[in-house]
Amino acid sequence: MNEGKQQEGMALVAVMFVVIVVLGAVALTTLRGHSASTFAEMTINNLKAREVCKAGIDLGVYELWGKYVEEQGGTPGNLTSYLEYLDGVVASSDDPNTSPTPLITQPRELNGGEGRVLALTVTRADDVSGTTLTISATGESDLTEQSATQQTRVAGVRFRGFEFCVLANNINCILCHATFHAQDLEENMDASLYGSYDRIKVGSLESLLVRKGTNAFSANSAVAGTVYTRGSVRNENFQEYSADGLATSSFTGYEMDSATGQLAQDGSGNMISTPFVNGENDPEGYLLPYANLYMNYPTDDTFMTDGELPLSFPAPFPDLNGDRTVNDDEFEPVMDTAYQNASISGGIVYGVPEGATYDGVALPSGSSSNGAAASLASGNYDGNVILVGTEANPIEIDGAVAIDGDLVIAGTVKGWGQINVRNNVYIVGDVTYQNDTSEPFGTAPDGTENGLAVAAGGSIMMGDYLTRRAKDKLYSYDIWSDCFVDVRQTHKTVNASAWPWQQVYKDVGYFDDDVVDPGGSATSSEGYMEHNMSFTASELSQFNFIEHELAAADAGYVPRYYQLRDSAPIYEYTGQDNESTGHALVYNNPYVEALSSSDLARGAIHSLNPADNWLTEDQLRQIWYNDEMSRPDSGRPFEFHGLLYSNNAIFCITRSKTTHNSNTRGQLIVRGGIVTADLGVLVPGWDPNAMSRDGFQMYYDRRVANMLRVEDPLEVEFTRHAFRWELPDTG
Amino acid sequence: MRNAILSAFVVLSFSLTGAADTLFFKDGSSLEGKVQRVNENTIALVVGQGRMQFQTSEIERIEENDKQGDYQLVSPMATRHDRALKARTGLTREQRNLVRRHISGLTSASGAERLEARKALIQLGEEVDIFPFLKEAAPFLPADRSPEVLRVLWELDPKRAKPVLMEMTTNALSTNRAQALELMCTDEKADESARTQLAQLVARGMVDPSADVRIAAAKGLGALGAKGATPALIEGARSSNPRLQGACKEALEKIWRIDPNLAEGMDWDTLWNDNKQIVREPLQCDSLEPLYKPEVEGQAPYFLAR
Repeated sequence: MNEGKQQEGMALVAVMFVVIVVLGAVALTTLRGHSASTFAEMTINNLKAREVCKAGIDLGVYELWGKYVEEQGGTPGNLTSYLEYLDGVVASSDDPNTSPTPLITQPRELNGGEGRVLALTVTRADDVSGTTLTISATGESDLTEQSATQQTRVAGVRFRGFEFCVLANNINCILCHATFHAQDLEENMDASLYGSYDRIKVGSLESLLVRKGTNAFSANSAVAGTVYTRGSVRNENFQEYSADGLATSSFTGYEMDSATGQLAQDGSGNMISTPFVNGENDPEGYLLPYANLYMNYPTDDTFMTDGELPLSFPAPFPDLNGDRTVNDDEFEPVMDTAYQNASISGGIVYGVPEGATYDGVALPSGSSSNGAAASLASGNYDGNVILVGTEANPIEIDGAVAIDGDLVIAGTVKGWGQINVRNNVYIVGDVTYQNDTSEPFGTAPDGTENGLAVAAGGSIMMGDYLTRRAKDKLYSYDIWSDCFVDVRQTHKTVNASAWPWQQVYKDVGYFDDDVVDPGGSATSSEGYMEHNMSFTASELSQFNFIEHELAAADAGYVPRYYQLRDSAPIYEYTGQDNESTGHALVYNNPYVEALSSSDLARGAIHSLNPADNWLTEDQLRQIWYNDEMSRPDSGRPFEFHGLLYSNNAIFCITRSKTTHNSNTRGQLIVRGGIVTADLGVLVPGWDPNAMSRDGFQMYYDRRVANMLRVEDPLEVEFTRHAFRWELPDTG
Repeated sequence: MRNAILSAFVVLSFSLTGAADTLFFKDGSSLEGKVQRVNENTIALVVGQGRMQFQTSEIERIEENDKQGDYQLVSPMATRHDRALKARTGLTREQRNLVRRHISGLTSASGAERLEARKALIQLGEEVDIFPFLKEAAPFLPADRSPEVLRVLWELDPKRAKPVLMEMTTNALSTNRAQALELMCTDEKADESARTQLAQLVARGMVDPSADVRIAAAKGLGALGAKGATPALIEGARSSNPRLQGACKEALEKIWRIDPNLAEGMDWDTLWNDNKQIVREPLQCDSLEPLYKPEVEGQAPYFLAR
């Protein structure tokens, strides 16, 4: 019995055990299921919260940008119009502790009721060329919250022109015994790297002139890469080139890999010359990339399949009121940004404040005592500056320095930076990096990387832009021969008559009377009318004509007219299609007109002289002469290292040996880039009548491509930058 | 030192100046208005809303007076330029613009537009004397356009055009030399003596460095009936240039009144030997001086020189 009961008790325990195990298993399963369900629910809520949060950011973008675009009729306007819109939404503040501005006043349901945006705020920070907006949003779904921050920027469309070795509206005189090569390829000695260097780019947005003449007078120019043109490509007789015609000219390219655009090199490292062949279209009508020539390159970026070619040249410092001059309030942010963020710490720094004048007869031998050096060491200077560097005491630059005036510069440069100059820039001698020749170009002996960019709100003059070529030769169609100005002799007299029986003497030494372009036809001290224009005046009259035409066609257009100096007439050469002469060479050409007051009334006028003549033309000429005389008889080309940018004009002028006696031998070497609206290059080489001569040698330094950030405030764009999820506050 | 004296003078002048003054420039011109000193090197002149700056080195003297100046402040050099252009051409700025526009049309790609431009110029020339402008402009025009302007000049007034064309026979552009020779030879009113003189000039075109000029000269000699030019034309007819060959043969046919249909295989040497005794001054190529000779072989025309 007891045994039986004992057996029954054992069975009960076993059953109980099984029941417990089963119940435990069931409970565990139930618990696990609940936990999984809760986890899934949490995940879903979290995802919903994130989505709502992102939707909140999008709502912010709409409030800050989308509504503006709608108000503009679907197309963004200029920066001013955007900032005006933005002022109605959020105020700008320099104070980082300013509270964010709410974009919604109460939580708002989003994503079809899946969640709510609890908070949506924005902070705004304006800078030189746009504004940075930081949007913060907190989303919630079923009590799960998620926060995120999105940084956005609204600014002018970024200018991409610095990817070009040379980019200008019109390219003409430059293509005369000129070469455009890649700096890295040129300096490479490692045969294993042959064929691995990218092409360079040269672009003209309005016209390209390629001389067709024979021997010395043909283009004899070459580009190690691709040439992009818009507008016309003509020869000196104003005849339009076909692509085939250009292929037979003496303007040539070099072979490139058609898949990569890398420049082909032979076993000795030489590039292989090849004619220009215009890019072809694929079956869909898009240009095939990596051709060496694109004539009439598209303006629609969808069709720019070989890279972007800009449409215009924006002001380096946003021209917010569109008056084509740099106003105080437009340059102030540049000065402010530079302050304590950049410096010039070496070289000679000579400051001349507004209202004062320079009293030296040569470049300064020491820094001025008026605090200019200290000011530039802190990033900016309010006034005109002369910078002089030597190998032992180079101009040491770091960051984006600002000068609220003109800049005169010569000598050795060290460091990496840019000089933002409100007015004109005068490059009065070689400007070269302190370079260790055993290291890659741009490396100083102490390993510092050198890179200079100069952006001018005015124009940039490299070399003597004032001295005219010659005095008029009498009784000869060949108006110059024998009367060229000698840039190395202070005084010189020549016979100016073409008739052997007549002796008419004129003085053509560098410091003789009337060798400076007076700005018009004028009677010389010798009693003869002199009509010869300087090269600069010739070019200005061309540029002015183009502007005058644009102004005539569009009543809202603000033309920019150039003058040689404050007191000079503003000329236009109305014979732009008289390309046999390339440009006007004499003031008495009946196609040269002085613009009237009514023509000038709505234009911006840019003078090439130093502002208020703080540095006189006589002083400039003495400085140029000193530079010329510093060049040995064995010759030393004018040389510039760095990037030059102006949305006005850049002039690069050297003079030949045979006609002007210059020891630059008429050569200019630029290692960097030149990007400008109007480009005037007169670099004839040793002898302008010689077939074989080196003139302008340009080596594109790819490092300059991203040195300057220039944005066009006439067309704003919205870009998203950093996005991050905010971690929950864990207390 | 000179500058210092001038500066001192200018400073002194300023202390004396009133509301308006006259600036006298070294080039002899002057301007009136209110003078302001900008700095040691710069003087500004203000008239109404206008303001213009000058280097002190440009200024001869400043006179104090009460003249208020012109409403529109224009650089004296600009005024002088405009006046000079008007004096040379006799046309206002608007008229000059109009003439220039028509001149551009002379080389239009469209034949109809070219014709229209020429007609327009001729018509305008009947209303206003555009001759001086065209004459002044011709030397500055491109190789394809200036010959067209010479043609218009000739059509407007052959008598006035003649000296211009004479000058153009020695022009550096071969197109101008060719056109000048060709046009002058179409003067039907020229008397025998004038034609003989002209033939001597035109024959010099037969030794021109440019084939186009030689062709034009051959045509001109044919039109003039210049028998004396026969040796030069025979030489030209032996040229390897088929255009020159054709022009010379055609000229010979005209001069010697040979029916072109019968001229094939013509022995011009025999014809000349048979007839040279009746020609007073035969012109041989080797005795002719070219109308144009570049100063240095291969030298650039002036507009290309640097």
